Amino acid sequence: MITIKHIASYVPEHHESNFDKKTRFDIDDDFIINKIGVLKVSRKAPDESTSDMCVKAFRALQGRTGISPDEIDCLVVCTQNPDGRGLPHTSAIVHGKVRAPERCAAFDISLGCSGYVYGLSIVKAFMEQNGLKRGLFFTADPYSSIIDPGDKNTVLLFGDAATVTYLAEAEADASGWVPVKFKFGTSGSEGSALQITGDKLVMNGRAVFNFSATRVPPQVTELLHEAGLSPANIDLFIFHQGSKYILDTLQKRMDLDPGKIPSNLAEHGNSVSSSIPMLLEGRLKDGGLRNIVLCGFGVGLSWASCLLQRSAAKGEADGSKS
Amino acid sequence: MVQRAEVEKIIRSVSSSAKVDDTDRAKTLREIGIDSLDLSGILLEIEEKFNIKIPDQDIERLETIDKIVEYITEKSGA
Repeated sequence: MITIKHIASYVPEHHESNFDKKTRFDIDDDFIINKIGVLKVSRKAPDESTSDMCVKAFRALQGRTGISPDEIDCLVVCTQNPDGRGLPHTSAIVHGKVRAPERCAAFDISLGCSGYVYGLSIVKAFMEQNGLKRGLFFTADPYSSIIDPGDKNTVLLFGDAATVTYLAEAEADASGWVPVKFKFGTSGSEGSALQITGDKLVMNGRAVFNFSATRVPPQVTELLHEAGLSPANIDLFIFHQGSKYILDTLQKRMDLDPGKIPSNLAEHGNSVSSSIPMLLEGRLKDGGLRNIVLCGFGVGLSWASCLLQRSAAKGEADGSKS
Repeated sequence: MVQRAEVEKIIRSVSSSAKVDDTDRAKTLREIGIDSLDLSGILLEIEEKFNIKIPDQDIERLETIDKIVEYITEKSGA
């Protein structure tokens, strides 16, 4: 059984404050703090590539786990802003930069904000099908390279970041997080709500809001129903960090405990497929957590939900709250 | 005929800070404290409650609460 062992992330040091953009976009503190919820956004260096960001996330993982590139059996990158024009695939470039072995499989996944949840399912299944023991799943979608600096709809929201999730065979003597159930959705006819026009990202905020508010709640409800759980059994709902307004709307529409919906929007903005793993990163070692729901939604339009359950180590007391 | 009170109730449920009781009915939605994000939330609630679709190009017409009421009445045949 493949479990999530560790997550590490990389956030570029350079940030842009949204408070510096108030006059340009005719917005006030209340809009920044209470509506979009993004105080600042990270920006990669102009010459920093998507693969560079992945490598920096991997170095952070190495610092925490000591994992050697020789141990890696597969390396997957989720991005829609690949190095160059995506040929060769960014995962192959990362493979070369970290000096992974030749037997290591590498491929990219093209998805946006739903990418982490889709990717977890893909990488887990790929590893289990092929008997692979250790895999790396990267997310890195630096939207700063496709954002129009004059577009209020996008420049205030999206921040650059990369993450790497280390998946490995469950060990009897260690706890791990197991993705146990997934649900997926696509509405391709609404794809123009979030697309590249010319060479810049264009977002119809109202269409994306309507999509999020109407598609996410039923999918999460269905996921829980099929798992025989209710919201009361879930310790955390980690939603994609679209905006504070979207998070607040989901909380209200699903009547969830606001304390179960973590957010990192204020510091990092919407980091596309990296938003969910960045929130998960600091919570993997929390022994008090048992069930976590992940839900990503956006580009496509596409959405996906997953139930993560913590498997206890042999002999470990069950720290479950549910 | 759709009642203004129904629309006010929706606005209050979406935006607690909107000044729906302002006596000057000519004030625009923005003037009573409704920003673009709140408007998206309000329009979605209206679409669901009155079973109508509000295309993006119609939003310019919806400058005040009274104009929203008028629009819903026209679209829903209520």
